[in-house]
Amino acid sequence: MRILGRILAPLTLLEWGGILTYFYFSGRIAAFLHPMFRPLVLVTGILLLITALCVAIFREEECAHDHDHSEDHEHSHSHDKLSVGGFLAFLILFLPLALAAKISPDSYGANLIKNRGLVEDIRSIPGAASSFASRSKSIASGSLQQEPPVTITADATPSSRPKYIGVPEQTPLPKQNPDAEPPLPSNDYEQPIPPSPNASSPNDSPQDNTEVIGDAVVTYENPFLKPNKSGCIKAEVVDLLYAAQEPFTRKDFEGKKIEIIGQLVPNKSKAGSKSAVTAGSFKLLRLVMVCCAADAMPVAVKVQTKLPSMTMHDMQWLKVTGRVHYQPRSKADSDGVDYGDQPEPVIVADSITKISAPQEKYLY
Amino acid sequence: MSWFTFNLQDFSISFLSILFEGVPFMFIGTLLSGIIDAFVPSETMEKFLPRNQIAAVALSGVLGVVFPMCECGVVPVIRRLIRKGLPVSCALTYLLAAPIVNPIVALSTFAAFRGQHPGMVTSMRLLMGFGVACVCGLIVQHIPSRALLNRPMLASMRKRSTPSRAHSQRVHEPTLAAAYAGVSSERNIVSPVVPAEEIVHLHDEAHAGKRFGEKIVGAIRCAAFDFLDVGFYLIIGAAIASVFNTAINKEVLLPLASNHLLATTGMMVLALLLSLCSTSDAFIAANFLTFPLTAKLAFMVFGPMMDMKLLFMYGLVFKKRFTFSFALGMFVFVALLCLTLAPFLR
Repeated sequence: MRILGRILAPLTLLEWGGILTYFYFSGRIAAFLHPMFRPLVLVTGILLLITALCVAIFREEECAHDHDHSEDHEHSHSHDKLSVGGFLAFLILFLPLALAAKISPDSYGANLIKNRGLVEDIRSIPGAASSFASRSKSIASGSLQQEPPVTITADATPSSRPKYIGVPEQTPLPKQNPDAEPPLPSNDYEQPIPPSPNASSPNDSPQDNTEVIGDAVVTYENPFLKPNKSGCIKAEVVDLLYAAQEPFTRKDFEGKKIEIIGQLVPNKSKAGSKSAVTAGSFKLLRLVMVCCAADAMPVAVKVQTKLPSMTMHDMQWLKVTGRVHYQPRSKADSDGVDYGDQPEPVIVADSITKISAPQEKYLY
Repeated sequence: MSWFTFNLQDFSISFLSILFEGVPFMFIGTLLSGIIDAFVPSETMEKFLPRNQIAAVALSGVLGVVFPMCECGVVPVIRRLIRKGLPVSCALTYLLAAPIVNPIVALSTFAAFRGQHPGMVTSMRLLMGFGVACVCGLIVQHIPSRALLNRPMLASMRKRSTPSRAHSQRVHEPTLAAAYAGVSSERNIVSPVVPAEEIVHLHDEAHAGKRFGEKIVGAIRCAAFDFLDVGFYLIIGAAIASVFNTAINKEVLLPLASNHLLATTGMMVLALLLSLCSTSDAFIAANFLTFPLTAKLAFMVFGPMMDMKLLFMYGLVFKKRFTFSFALGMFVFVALLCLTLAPFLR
């Protein structure tokens, strides 16, 4: 008991404090916790280190008065039994944390994604949706007063309608849409790519907000979703899903060229196979975290591609550029979830690039 | 499709993240416990609570609004408060209600259920949490604390009947020994505790006029040992929770959704196994789109009151037999309550 109190207890506290502070300063904490909770880990780590020192320095003797009874008291424990049990308890307090800190990778594997199941409905991830809602609210106040510009002209696509009913017949499905066909990018795509003169101020005049694709005009009227120098809106997986339930926000993405990152989830992954192919269609995944990695939710959107197939690892980080289309969900893959008339975003990919994992692997 | 696929790396991420999430709050709890131990005199509790026992329990139930605590931090505080003379019924009510009836949880529940009747779900969750906690508190009022509390707790309770207001360092160390010795070694403590009663008395009188600095050191030492006490159970709970958190395929649960009884009990078992923090569990519950609302409510009411880590932590305060029968009783109670309410929630 005395050994426990004097050596093992401070040692355990020292280990916990040390690991907490190490994870904070090495940045590894980003793989485990929401940014809001990270400072708490640092403070706790430092306080634990101080506590460990206090416990080590100020021993029982600090109670400096003559009570020899304390020795009797301690001796009345059955020593060997306690020390074995005590040592076991010490091991449980000490080892799992150290081992987990050693072996833990910085992101989840495909196995977890399979077990948790993919979320493709924004109603399940409202934390993420609300951050987006604040963005689009300011948009609404800014541009709703004037008539919002008509988004896509040629095909009379549903974005000008208030509701998304009857879309299936009229929306050109991406596959049939010759304008959005990726393998042969038209000149209209190519133009914005050299980022030179007009890229520096692409949004000064209204006509810079429009893009001509074939005979369709796409207008980027949302001041918060401006295309970058390669003509793409930077979007996240949750943005696309959020827009699926809001006809107004959907307009900000429908038919637009976006750039998006995420991890590869092949459509039909054979159990145990390490490699995945990006032919035809696959899913692009981000993990959404509320508090910590234990509650991380895999959120995904569908990507369709005509690009030559690439073979890579499951969960490989990808950057995909392409156009977004909202199409009705098929009953078959809804898993019994009632999506109502909420459409499903599909990215028709122009380019797929392997990238290394970003600093922040989660969406919050 | 296999329903259980264990992966050590996924497990370690989940395990560490539960610890990183829980440890700061647990540490706040143990610091508070240390400070209460060193600075709060025992008689304050009686003065503070209303005389009427029902009112006292009800007050403990809403105390979480003023002193929000999550379930990791609340156990060490409660343990200390019981030693300082808080009636077990009130302590239990606060223990159960505080992780649910608090503003942070209300906000996160509201946010999580956006689009799924957020106002109704949030108020139902808070009301049910409060109601269940109060009912448990009122029932426990009629059980003698001898049948509720574990032996180290009882020993320190007996000590409290002496007029001394000094701290109880001598007494909490047997509990640490229990933690270090594992759950089964409770009998190791039995023999020293009874004579310790006398010793404590002498010891505390010697401490009666302590200086501030000594009190601080006492508080820190006390917090440190409390931390190890509770941390031991947090580790075991986090490990078990992480196995289920990462290895179980969620699809096996989906067929339960169509049956109210199966969905509700299934979600409650899930809450027990996943051991999520009460601030984030609403987001997981909201994710079960196909499940009836009552099942999600049961998940969110039962989870913060009883889960793997709490089951172990409650053992630091209560008798093992009481903890298990209490867990079972609460399970049945919350399930029945939710199923009774089911027709009214559409």
